[in-house]
This record gives sequence, C-alpha cells and structure tokens, in this order.
Amino acid sequence: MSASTWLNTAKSTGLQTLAPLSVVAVALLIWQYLIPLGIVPGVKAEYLGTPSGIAVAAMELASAGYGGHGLFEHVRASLFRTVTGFAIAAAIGVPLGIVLGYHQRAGSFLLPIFGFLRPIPALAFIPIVVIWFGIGEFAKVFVIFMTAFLYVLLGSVSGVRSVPADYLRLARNYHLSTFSTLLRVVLPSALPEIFVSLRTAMALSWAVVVASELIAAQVGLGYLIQSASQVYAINKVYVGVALIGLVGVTIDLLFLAVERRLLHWVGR
Amino acid sequence: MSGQDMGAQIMGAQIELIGASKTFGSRTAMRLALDQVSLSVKAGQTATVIGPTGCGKTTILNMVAGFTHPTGGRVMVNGRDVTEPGPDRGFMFQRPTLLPWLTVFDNVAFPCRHGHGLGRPYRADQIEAEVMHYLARVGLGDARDLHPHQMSGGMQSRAALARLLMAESEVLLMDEPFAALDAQTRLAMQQLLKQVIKSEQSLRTVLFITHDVEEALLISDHVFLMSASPGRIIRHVEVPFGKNEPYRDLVLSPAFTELKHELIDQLERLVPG
Repeated sequence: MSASTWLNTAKSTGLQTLAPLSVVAVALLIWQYLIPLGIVPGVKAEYLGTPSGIAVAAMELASAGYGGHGLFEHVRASLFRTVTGFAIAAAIGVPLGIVLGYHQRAGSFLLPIFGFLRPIPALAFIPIVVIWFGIGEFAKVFVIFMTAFLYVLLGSVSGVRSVPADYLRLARNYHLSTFSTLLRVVLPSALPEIFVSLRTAMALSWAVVVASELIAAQVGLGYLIQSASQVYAINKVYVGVALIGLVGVTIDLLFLAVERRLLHWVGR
Repeated sequence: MSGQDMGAQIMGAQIELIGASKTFGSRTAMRLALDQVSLSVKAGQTATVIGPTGCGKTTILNMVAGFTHPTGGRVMVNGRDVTEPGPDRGFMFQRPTLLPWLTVFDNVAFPCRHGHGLGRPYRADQIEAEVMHYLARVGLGDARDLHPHQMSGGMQSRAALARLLMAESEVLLMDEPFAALDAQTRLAMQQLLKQVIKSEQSLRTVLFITHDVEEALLISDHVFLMSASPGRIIRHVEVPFGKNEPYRDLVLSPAFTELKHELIDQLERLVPG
C-alpha cells in the first residue's frame, strides 16, 4: 500500500468516526439549549428532559439508588429473573427439541401444539400468569420461561431437521448408538441454528422481563422506569431505558463471543 | 430363477445382486428405477457401475450399503442378504462428508472411536497410531489438526478416504467420490485409490459409481454399463488392461482409447437428445 493510499484510508476512517459523532454533538446541543425553550409543540418542555439533567439523574441513581434499592440491585433483579427463566427454558428446550426433531413420530404429536403457541406474544400470558401465580418472583420467571422455551425448542427442532442426511448415514454406517448419534452428530451439526435461537430467545427474554416488571414489582429496571415515570422524573426514566439497552447489548455481545469460540468452524 | 443360476456360476462373490429391482413412489405414481439388475463382484476386485444420470446407479450402491432395500430380487454381501447398514461395508459419499466441527484426526478416528462392530482395536494409542498411518498413506500426515474448512476439496477427499480405510471394511462403496474435484486432483485421487487398494494386505472389494468412462477403466477390473428409466445393466466389460501400467502409457495406448470411446459412444446413445 503506498503512502498516499494509506493517508486516504486514515482520512476516511477518521471521517467515518467523526461524521456521526458531530451529528450527535449537534443534537445534544439542541436538546440542552433549544428544547427547554419550548420549541416542541404539544409536549411540556420539562417532560423532555435535558442531557445535563440526565447526567445528574444518572449520578443520583448510582449513588442513592431508587425506591430503597441500589441501582445495581435493580439491574441484578432483572438479570436474575431473565437468566433463571432462560436457563430453565434452554435446559429443557434444547434436549427436548433435539429428541422431537430426531424422532419424527414423537415430533408429530407435540410440535403442532408448540407451533400454535409460539406466535402468541408472551406479554399476552402475563395477566393469565398473574391470576395463576400471583405477582411474585415465580410469575415473572415463568413468563420468561414461556417466552424463551418455545423459541429454543422450535429452533432446536429446526436445527436437527437440517442436519445433512449424509451425516446420519455415516452414523448408521458405523453403527453409532442412538445416544452417540444425537450427542456426536446431531447436536454439533444443529448447534449453529440452536445458538441463533438461544440468542433470539435471550434478547426476547430481556425485553419481556422489563415488561413484566412494569406490571407488578418492587425492584428491577422495569419497576424503576415505571415508578419514575409516575412522578414525571423523566431524566431517571431515560437513565433506566438506557441501562436496559446497555445490558441488552452486553448480553448479546457475550453470546456472540461464546458463539465465535464454540462455533469457529461454521460458515467458512 | 435365471438370476439364481447366474449367481451359482460365480463362486466366491462378495457382492451379489440377483434380479434386484427397485420401485419408487406411491401406489398411484409408481416409477421403476431398477429393473432386475444382476451383477457380482468377486472378493478383492474393483467393479464400476457407469451410466447416465438417473439410471439408478446410486440406488444400487445404497442397496448394497443397506440404506435402502430392493422391492424385488436379492442383494447379498458374503452370501448373506443385506438387511441394514454396517461397518463391514464402508461408504464414501459424493461429498467428503467430514464433520466440520472435528479436526482431520478426529474425523478419521471417528468410526473407530464411536462406532460399534468394526472388529477393530479401540485403545486410544492404537487408534492414534493407525490414524497417523492412514493420514500418511493419503498424504495428510501434516494436516491432522486442521478443520475441514481449512482444507481444499482435494484434501477433504483424501481425509474422507483415510476415514474409509481406517474402518477396515471388507467392502468399499464409493458414490462418485471424486466427481466434484478438478481434473488434476481427480486424477491424483484415482491413482491414490488404486495404490491404496492394491497395497493393503486385506482383500478389499470395491463397488464404484461414476459417470466418467476413463475413471471407470482406470480403476476397475469390471465395468457395468447401465441404461436409464428403468435402470438395466446393458453391458459388462472385463477391463483387459494391466493394473500396474503407468497412467500415461495406459491412457495413450490404442486399446484403451478405443475401448473408452466405444463406451462413451454407447453411453451417448443412451441419453435422449
């Protein structure tokens, strides 16, 4: 690469970072200094917050917490519900999906039922679950479980069904036991698709946990934004929403990292 | 009955099809894919089935492998009817079919580590030694830790061949294993297969499927030519050329060229249009 092309590349890389940053900076300036003047019709200026107000709210939340719980406790409560419901769903959904995908007959009994349930948004189950189990921890974990389970199960089934026929013939050729076939041929072959379903299920679970906390909770990020919004503490709501996004992105990156390590052999 | 008489004539056959037929489809839309195919391959010999696309040559191989069953007639290996797949008949697929999450070493070791009934040693150190032996045999001694996606198509074919040999099956069933390779790599694989089969102490019977006449003549003792819809064997050629002749001398000899073109002409007449 010649010096001038290198310079051009460096320039364009710099431009690629600077251009969007400058847009953000201008937007923040407008938000800070123009919006409080009441230029947005139909919404009271104080309900729109300001960047500096958000910074203050963030520091307040970080030091004093909210509603008698530290900020970290809110994050931890939401994470705990999500991870518990998700883990149970994965622990049951993946093995069950593998078996149902592999044994056509067993699958034909159960899969249409799960296929019918999946398109129903998990949020629609919340009132039912509240009637069944009340508003305690179990109800929230159960809603997460419902959300993740159907995704993981059907994703695993679909992964198993796309295992190349020749892999299965190889297993039959050398008389692998059924267990060995499932563990050493079907599972690894279906793993990329299973992983996609796990990642989607995790993202959905995180969205659903916040929604379930909106309804009834004393701690959790969903509770935080719901409760802060009731007293018009808009800047705290912003912080809560941003935190929900941040945690969601972090979880997704974690999944990607694990996926890259575990599935290094895929797609090259 | 005439099929059984034919079987009685050829003693010691390891692979034998006696009037084997195969019909596909439902009762309303039946299609006769194979029509009373009889052929036999003696122990230690290599036979090739050649024919136009859709003539049912892969079906023959699948029946011998036990992946599918004849709807009429018999398919036997070592005098016994084939009822299911088994490690006594190693199968090499059209594509290398290496498991992409395993290294070359683990792929080659796979049948011996996780299979049953191979009649092979299962101790880790024995498997290690034999995998390395077969990897060296196919020229992959340095590739043991590579994953399939890190290898060329030719190397993947070599690894698949090593896995096939590793299981030490008496019968090797090969379904156009080199068809997807470029011409040069294909030639190298044909030579390798020939060498390997002839140099091993155990007597291996090979049933090979191809649509490449030259490949058929180069590697086999017998060539069976098939017609399509329904699949029938229309010609049996006992290949008259020496197995140890150098490739160049062989393909340039007038006898080879003549037989090759005769078979190609016959094949071309079978393909409509």
